[in-house]
Amino acid sequence: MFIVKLIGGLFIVAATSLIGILKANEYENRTSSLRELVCLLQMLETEICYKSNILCDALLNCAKAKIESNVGIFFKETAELLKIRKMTSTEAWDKALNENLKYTSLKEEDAEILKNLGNSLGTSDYDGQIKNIRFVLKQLEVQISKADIDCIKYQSMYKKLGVLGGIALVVMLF
Amino acid sequence: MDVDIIFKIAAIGITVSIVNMVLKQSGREEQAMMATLAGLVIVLMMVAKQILTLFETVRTMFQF
Repeated sequence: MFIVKLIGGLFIVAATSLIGILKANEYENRTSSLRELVCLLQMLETEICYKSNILCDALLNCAKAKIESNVGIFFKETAELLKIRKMTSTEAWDKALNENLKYTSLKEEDAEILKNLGNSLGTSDYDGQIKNIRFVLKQLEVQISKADIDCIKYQSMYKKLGVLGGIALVVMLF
Repeated sequence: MDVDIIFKIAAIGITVSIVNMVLKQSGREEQAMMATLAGLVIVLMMVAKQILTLFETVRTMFQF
């Protein structure tokens, strides 16, 4: 009987530790997603600057170059929405953002920065686009440094809290 | 006399103090305070029944 209780307790501690690790990974994913986003935006800037592709193709090329990133889905979906329906690029970008934000680990403030980019995406001329993308890149760098600080602070905290919460729960129940 | 309850209270005390330390170290002081209070309430709830028995015993002993 005691060994069954022990195994049950171990399961509970494992479960709460996993919850803690999942929450800690959110912070880490946010940092790496922001870095991937910076990389993709730089590729977009290169596409616009040196290849002069239309927006739809430029976005698709960027998304294809980095298939395994999960922020590339913004670009891919914007390109698909532009091809299929008759929306303006701002609307397509906004729609892609709103639908896919919950699948990435980015926060609201990051989404705000991206929405600002969308406002200027298809509307200004060539130089304006480049300047806007560079401005957004600078803002994202600030967010990356903030996310790094957050990551270091909260990652180990959530892992430890997960394990400790599990132990407290087991002690209370048995 | 149930000795298990003493061990439970000790284990909860240790756990709450570690949680307090972890939360204070990462800057969330008010949540550390809340966790300490929660631990205190849980221990009180576990002990309340025993205290009631104690008072009943004292009352029957002095026949108030």
